[in-house]
Amino acid sequence: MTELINRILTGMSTTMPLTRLLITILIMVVSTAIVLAVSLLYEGFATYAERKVAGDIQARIGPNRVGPYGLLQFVADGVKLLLKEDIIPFYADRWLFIIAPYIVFTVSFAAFVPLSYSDHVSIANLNVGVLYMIAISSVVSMAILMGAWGSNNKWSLFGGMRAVAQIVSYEIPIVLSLLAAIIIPASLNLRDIIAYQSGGLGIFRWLVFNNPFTLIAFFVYFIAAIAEVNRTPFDIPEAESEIVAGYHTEYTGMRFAFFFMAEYGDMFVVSAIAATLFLGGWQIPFIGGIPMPVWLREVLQIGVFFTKVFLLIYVMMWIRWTLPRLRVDQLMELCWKYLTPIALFNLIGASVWVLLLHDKGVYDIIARVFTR
Amino acid sequence: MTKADEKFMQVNMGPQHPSTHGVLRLLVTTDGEVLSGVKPYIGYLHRALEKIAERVTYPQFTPFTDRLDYLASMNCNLAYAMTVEKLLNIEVPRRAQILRVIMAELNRISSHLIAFGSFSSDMGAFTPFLFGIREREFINDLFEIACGARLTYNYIRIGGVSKDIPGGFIEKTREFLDYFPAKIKEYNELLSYNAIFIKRLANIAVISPDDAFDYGITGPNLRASGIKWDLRREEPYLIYNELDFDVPVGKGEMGKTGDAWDRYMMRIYEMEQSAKIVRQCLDLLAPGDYTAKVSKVLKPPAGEVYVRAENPRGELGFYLISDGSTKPYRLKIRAPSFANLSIIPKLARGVMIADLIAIIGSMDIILPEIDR
Amino acid sequence: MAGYFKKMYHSISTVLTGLGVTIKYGINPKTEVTQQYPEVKREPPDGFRGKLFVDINICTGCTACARICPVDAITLKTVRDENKKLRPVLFDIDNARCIYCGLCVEACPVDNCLYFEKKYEFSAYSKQDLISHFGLGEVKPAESKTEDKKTEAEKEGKEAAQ
Repeated sequence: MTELINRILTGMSTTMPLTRLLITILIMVVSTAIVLAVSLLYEGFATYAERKVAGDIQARIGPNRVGPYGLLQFVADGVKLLLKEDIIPFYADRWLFIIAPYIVFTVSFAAFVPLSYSDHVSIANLNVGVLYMIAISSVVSMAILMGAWGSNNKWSLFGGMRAVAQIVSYEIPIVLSLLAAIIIPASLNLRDIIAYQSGGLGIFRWLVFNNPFTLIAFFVYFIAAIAEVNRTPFDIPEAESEIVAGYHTEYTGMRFAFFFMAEYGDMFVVSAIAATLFLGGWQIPFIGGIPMPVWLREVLQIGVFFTKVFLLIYVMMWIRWTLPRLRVDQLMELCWKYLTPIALFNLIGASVWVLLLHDKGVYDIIARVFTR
Repeated sequence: MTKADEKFMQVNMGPQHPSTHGVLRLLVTTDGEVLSGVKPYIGYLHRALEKIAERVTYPQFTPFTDRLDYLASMNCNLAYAMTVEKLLNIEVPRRAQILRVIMAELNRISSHLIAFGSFSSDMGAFTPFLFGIREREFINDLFEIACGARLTYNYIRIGGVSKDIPGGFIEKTREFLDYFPAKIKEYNELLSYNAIFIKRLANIAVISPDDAFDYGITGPNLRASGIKWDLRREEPYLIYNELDFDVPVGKGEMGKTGDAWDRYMMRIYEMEQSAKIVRQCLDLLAPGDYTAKVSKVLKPPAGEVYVRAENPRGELGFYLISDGSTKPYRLKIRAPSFANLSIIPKLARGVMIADLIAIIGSMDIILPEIDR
Repeated sequence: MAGYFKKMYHSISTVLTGLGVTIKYGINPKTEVTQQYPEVKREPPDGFRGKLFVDINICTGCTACARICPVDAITLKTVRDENKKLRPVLFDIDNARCIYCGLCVEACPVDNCLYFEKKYEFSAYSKQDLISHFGLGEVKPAESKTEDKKTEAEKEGKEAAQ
């Protein structure tokens, strides 16, 4: 992004600082709009996909009335939500109530920023990308509590308290398991991490196959990530059979839609982190070594990245429509008695591995044995 | 409200709540997630069925019994028909008796399927619910062939059944019985032995045998506490004494005897046994009259009678007083769910909100029967 | 410690079993059991209890159906025509009240007079539209002697009692 701006600006004849500033802002706004549009489109299709996957698993069909195969269902839903009456409860804390869904949505959208979609396509190439992702996704818990508290509804409050307890707790196994992967490329930059995973037919140098500890770290991360985005079996903050709808009980219309879209946005983000850190990001498997034009490579890379992310999202949906829900104390038990210790010992193991073998993965060792 | 009560929060669960199985209202006193007391309020579905019985004739009341426990209409029809038959001393032909057993047991299966399904959706797994509904459709189709209705059958009448089964019914029932065991296995794999499900239910809301007696609990809930009491065995009516079937009792497979998991599992076991009974009955079915000769206007002698039958939810009893006219003088209905509900305040003390849902679901109460 | 790992193994294995069940449905589109309602309509079996229909021309106006109805969904008014036969001038069935129990059909002494159609789609915008009118309307009366349902019912009841 910065490079793009720089390139455009160096191509410009003007040297007026104000013009340069305006152009910079314009490019930023346009690219943000593009990303927003794409993410909204993704969120729309994700809701459709969720219902279709649920339909498949439950021996039903799922939405198939609006548009071909029901693909435009989300448009109809969006229009419906926009037209719905916007109710703010009389006893609600108006400001908190109004502002909460926007924060939730903004945060989930902001997490799209450091993602590296292909070799050259990314909004911002942050050198602290991983840290930024983890930090920004924790803000969700605050916004959820704002909405829950502001609703002045007992069910909402239950949901909000559960959500905060859950998200804050599950940050720990997430970070610990991500650390086990990050210490190998020794970088927090998402693009560097992906670049590190090149070679080995585009598959075998993925960090998930680097050593046994990263494999465990991947599963720990994925389980914790499901909890982080409040999905069944960890959807206790919005457990509809227990606390009606949790923190968004009082929300209607578009405000509710923001919460809803944020959930799917978060799913994308956590899956994208998993794909980037463990599954080689946009590394094209098998045919990555063949020379090809830059544009084709970029398109393939984006396609590969999204395929990986969507597969992970499919697994999340599959899990959601299979398992019953945990109880709130069992959720904490899972986090503190299982995931956190495993992630911690795993991190120690991964550190020892790196200490002894530097960044050599299992594949590198095997490859060396064979080439010898 | 005293000072001591201020640390508790009172929450109204129901009558509009996703998992109170209809219109049950529970006034829940909680300290955070932990309940300190539950008070059920009933009557939102009161239709004065007992009073209606006093103004309609004996045959006219049969359709109203459909609306007692609408998930097991056949069983309610059966209990009422047996009550009036006992008063009138009507001998029911053998074919009618066998047909009654077939219908009652098929309805037991369909009722338990709903119990299983709604319980699983209370626990957060929605897929088993739809699987349960899918199998129930088969039974509904069978009933539709037999009597023309899918929910309120009004099939078992005073003196026999309303009409003989048409051709094809036996074959279709056999088809269902062949198809069904595989599905039960699927339910067990998907839900019953799932670790999360067991963790949610084992050792939750244990009903001791003494408590079960004290509160008048009947049906699968009583048997889950380890008491082998099944009216089909203890006071055999119809042709149950000729049939070979087991009465499953709770053994505390996953925790203490009489916990929520045992109560859930009783229903799965009973479905298997009911399928076994239906299979035997189909073999026993021989040509004959489908109803005894019953005059159009029934005038039972003055007197009183109490008849009970084993319903899917427990012991359904009709206490009928006749004054010799064409209409009952008084009809008291002993609804099993009413007694089963009465233990919930005792069970739901010191448990969590999620456990309260598990308790309600595992008792498998049905509101039309409670409110009558 | 062994229990810790045993528990973990148990959880993972049962969860995977469950996932195995659902993925079988997830990847096999042939497992769906939905019927696409407006396009595919279920053909109800014989004896289906749908909408009530009266063949008014063979109705004898005996009011057996109105008397047996537990919810008073049938309103009947009969008149004696020139042959001194009872004819139903008013025969209304309130489909909103009807509970489709089938008692009236069984009570009807005339074959194929009152019966259930296989029709199950009859939604309406107002409750009034749900009342089906079968009555003859006007009948050439021999004498202007109308008997409403109630008195008829009482008479029949008395006869039966004797």
